[in-house]
Amino acid sequence: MTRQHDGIDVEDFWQAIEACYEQSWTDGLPVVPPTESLVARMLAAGPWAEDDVLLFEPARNLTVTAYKAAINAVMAGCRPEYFPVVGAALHAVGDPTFELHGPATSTGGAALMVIVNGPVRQRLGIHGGANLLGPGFRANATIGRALRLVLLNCLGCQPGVLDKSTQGWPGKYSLCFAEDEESSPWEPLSVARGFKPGQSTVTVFAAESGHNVLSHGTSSPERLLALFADAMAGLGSLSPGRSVIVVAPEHADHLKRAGWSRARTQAWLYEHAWRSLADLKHVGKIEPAFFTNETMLQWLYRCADGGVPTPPDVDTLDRVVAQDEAVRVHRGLGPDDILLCVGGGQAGGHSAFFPSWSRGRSVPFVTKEVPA
Amino acid sequence: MLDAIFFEKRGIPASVLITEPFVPTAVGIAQLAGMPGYPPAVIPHPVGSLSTAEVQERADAVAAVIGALLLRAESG
Amino acid sequence: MTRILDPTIRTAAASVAAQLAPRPARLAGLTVGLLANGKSNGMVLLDRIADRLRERSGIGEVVRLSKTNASVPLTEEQAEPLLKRCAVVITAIGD
Repeated sequence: MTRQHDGIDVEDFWQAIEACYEQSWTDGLPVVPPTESLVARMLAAGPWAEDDVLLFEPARNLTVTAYKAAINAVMAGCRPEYFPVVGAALHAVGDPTFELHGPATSTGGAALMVIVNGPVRQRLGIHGGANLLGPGFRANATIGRALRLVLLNCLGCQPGVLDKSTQGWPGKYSLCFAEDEESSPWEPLSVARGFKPGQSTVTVFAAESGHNVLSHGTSSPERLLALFADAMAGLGSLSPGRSVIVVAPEHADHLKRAGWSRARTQAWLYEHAWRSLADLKHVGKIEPAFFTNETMLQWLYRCADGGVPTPPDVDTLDRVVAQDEAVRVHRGLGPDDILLCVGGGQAGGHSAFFPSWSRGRSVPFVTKEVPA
Repeated sequence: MLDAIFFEKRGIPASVLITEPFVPTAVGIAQLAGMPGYPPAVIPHPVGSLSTAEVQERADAVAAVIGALLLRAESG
Repeated sequence: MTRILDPTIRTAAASVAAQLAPRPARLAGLTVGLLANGKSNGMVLLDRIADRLRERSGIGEVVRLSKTNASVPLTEEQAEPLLKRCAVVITAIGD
């Protein structure tokens, strides 16, 4: 690189680590000091030129170039060969339909979940087996972390400043894992999302904290899925938004032996993950802002005889009336709002349900190919 | 991009809609026009081939962003 | 001595902010110009955005202008109605 790049000069690596803290360039954990040569190596491992735009955030007019992404990837601890995956994930969260501004800055505290499919998993050691959501795997930990560092450093999502998360959650440090395609009863997630078998992809999702779904007592699909649906219908996170279910291989196996397709499983979960409108009102889930929000009113009343009460009467929406017991309010708007992937150790009936960020519709899943 | 920058230079706040594949070009145009970093509002491609209803959905999704780009930013 | 590189991009927003036309605090009551560059669906998009802004922000009058050729830059004469009457302008579509 011949261009002189902005930075700070340090005496040694200890000073470098402290300097990054002083500048607020970290996520709270120490970062790898990004030297010119480390950044050059990272950049060279991707297909992009230094000034290529990997992500553009229109709400605040911020352009993340391959160069800036490479700096953050080095800081995260990525090996250079991970860089194409980092770039693909940035491309995905920068997709206009993902509306990154929302999940990145609202009070909802979303983590950016990255699910990896295809041969890149084995090539880079992106883990989809036991403890896939936990610490211990360099690719998982650092690819997810690179994304968060870009948000912090390039998109200004510093807590309390532009990141208005009330509480956040640890998934915000990093939440990247591989789908265990080999243990799945279905086609790989990437194929379900429209890509060809053999393509490597990343799928991103704005996730709130997950719920453990623990079942060791049944192999019946309906009984097993009833437990998942119960987690999905939790009032705390009930919304018209999306869901990701990471199905443990042991649970996936029950569905495989019963011959349940992906579509059938999604449909069943959607049908059974609901609470009555009365339940929602009892716990104050209905906010005054919903009364003038078409999406929320349609979500609440789509199963009601007569639909949305016209005109929506403030008293009615706030007060429980007899009919409300019979009105079902489902999580999400349809089976396609539920994304199923398989991952985890071969032994153990622990799956996970992740609700989407936001009390509303949230943002869609986005899948992009990982460049060669 | 140039039309929007035309108005900005004459003291009238302007906002421009572009589609996603056009972003790198837009970044370049802004640079060349002497307004590096000028922010377009970006929507998914395509637009020209969509039905009226589909175009209106795109418009609904981006209206708030357009409004924000035309206003004075709040401090803090 | 080693140099560690700056992972942030705080500068760009600041520099363009200095050059942008001063913005109003509110859109309520303002006359909004809609400039379509002649590409398909441009004015459909703009009209709908204007509808939404009318609902949510109470914008005032709307002045519409369509170019016939997207690649020809706007002239002062063409732009006159917008320059004279509009407080803000929305243009579409770069695709």
